[in-house]
Amino acid sequence: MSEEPAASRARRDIASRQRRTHGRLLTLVVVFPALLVIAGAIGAVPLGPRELWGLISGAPDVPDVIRSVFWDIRVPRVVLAALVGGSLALAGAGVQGLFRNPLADPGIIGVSAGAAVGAVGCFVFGWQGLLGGWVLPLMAFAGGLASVLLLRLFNTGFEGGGTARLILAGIALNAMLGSVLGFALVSASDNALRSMTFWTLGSCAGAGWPQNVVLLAVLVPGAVLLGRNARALDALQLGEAQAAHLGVAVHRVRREVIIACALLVGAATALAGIIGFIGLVAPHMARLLLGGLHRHVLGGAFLMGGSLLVLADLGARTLVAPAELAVGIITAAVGGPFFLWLLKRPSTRVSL
Amino acid sequence: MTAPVPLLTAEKVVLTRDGRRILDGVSLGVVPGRLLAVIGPNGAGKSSLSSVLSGWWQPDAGEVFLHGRAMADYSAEARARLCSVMRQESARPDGLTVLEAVEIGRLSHGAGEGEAAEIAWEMLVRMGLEELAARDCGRLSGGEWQRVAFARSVAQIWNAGTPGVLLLDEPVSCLDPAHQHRLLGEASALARAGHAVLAILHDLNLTADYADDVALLGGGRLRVCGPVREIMQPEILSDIYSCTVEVLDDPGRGLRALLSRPGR
Ligand SMILES: Nc1ncnc2c1ncn2[C@@H]1O[C@H](COP(=O)(O)OP(=O)(O)O)[C@@H](O)[C@H]1O
Ligand SMILES: [Mg+2]
Repeated sequence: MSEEPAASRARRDIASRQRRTHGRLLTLVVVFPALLVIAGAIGAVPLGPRELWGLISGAPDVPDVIRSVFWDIRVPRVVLAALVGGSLALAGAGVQGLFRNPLADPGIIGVSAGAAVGAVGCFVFGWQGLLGGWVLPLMAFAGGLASVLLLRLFNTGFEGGGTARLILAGIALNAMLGSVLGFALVSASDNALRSMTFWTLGSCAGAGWPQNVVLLAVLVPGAVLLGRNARALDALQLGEAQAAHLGVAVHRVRREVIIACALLVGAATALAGIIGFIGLVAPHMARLLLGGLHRHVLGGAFLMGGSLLVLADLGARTLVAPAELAVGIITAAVGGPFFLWLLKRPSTRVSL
Repeated sequence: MTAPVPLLTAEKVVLTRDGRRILDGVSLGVVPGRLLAVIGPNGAGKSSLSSVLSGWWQPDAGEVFLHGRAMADYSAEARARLCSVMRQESARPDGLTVLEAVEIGRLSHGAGEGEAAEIAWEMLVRMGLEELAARDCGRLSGGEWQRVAFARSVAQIWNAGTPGVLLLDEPVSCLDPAHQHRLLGEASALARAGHAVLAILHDLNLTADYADDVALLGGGRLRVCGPVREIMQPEILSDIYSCTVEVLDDPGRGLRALLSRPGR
């Protein structure tokens, strides 16, 4: 069949759009590990390319101190930042897709506030040092999951009430947890208050290999659960009823996406405190760069969120060295203006 | 000749919402090879009937059967392979291209991406939408989006092996007259090809042009149902719409409905 010129132009447009998307994804895939290495090189003991190569290739002539600084302190921290950023961004992409709302933050389902209550409870009772410091993340994680279960209770299951009710219930839940949090902060001792405040602003300073292994153990199933629903999330953009007509088991998808997001945000928050903005901005950037298909949005958001938090954490540990900034301060201070700039560009279209 | 067995049947369907009866004992069959137009005033329950027929809503009484099996026994995916629905309203998938949006129609078939893209392109060509293929769905006009939604619905039952059911809820409400004819022409061609098509319509002349059968819904009840010529009667139509409808049988143009301004 001979096609009109306009049709062949459309075919060309589509092909070039696909090439562009794949090119950008590839760029992200390359930039991500490169950033990890660069961030690993920067710090109180700066490392040159030769030393870096020696460390990575396992050359024997590297001093033990450097080796230890790099492998025991810096790399675990950079990796934690990458995994936390990636988890938050993945969860953000998940809830934004599920709620068909670009304003949705992964915190909307109450996980981060619940985790905060768990963590703050830990400080109030002075348990943060118990079990080698693992009581704090455990309680935070439990708090996050408990709040999502509470949401489910309010809402007669994630399936019953529909998406709008879920969002509103989440807002109410966040407000209630916020008041518990506020009460704990007001009644806390000065010392506990400092730790609490620092925790609620987020930090990757508690990084170590065990933390990374734990986070990865939660991240992998969470990411798989989201990834297998990528196509369903595409269809959900047409509305829940239309998605069901297209063959999406809407209830199952909603349950799985919320569980995945709760796991991702719960684990990330448990290990690094509350870090705002990454979960909101990274999926947006992924959509702007890669288009709306969720298999691209999810992958892109992970890489973008990981990269962003690695950079922010780099700032947190170097800007006021030898002191540390809370990384949440940086994500908000840099992410905010950047996001505004993104919104201001004429080619950026946002609809609610 | 025996009448063909309907692919989709509603049996004495009752639907209650907020204590009101929205559907009150509606029985109906959608037959392969024919286009059934469902007409009736605003709020008659047409969209609700479509929601029940498609399995999105459970009826409070009565049952719906698809290919002889109770609707509730199907998984969403198995149902979607046999029955495609174009809702009266659907959200725009911002950031997806028109081609990607039509490809979603193949979701339940689980085929490779390449095949989905091929079928989607074929649908765009059929609907004269190929020029829009690379455009963002968020930036289409209302009518363009409606045609894209139709193309997606057709892609869903394309080449499925068995005759499918196509439920179209006011598929031409945003279209210019030429595209109204083009879309309903395609819908009627799908019926000719053996699919069972139901279209909710408001325009009586389009109904006369494209419907094989007409079901008239009023106040949640099925008033009459039958071949188009039996239903397109001035008394029946004037009564259901509470305004004066004349029906002309023009030898060249077929049945034409003429509506007078109320009060004349
Ligand atoms: N989700 C709902 N809840 C309660 N009432 C509804 C709902 N959807 C539709 N209705 C009511 O049911 C009646 C039929 O609606 P509908 O089927 O959409 O009519 P139409 O024939 O115009 O498509 C209307 O009176 C409408 O107000
Ligand atoms: Mg309607």
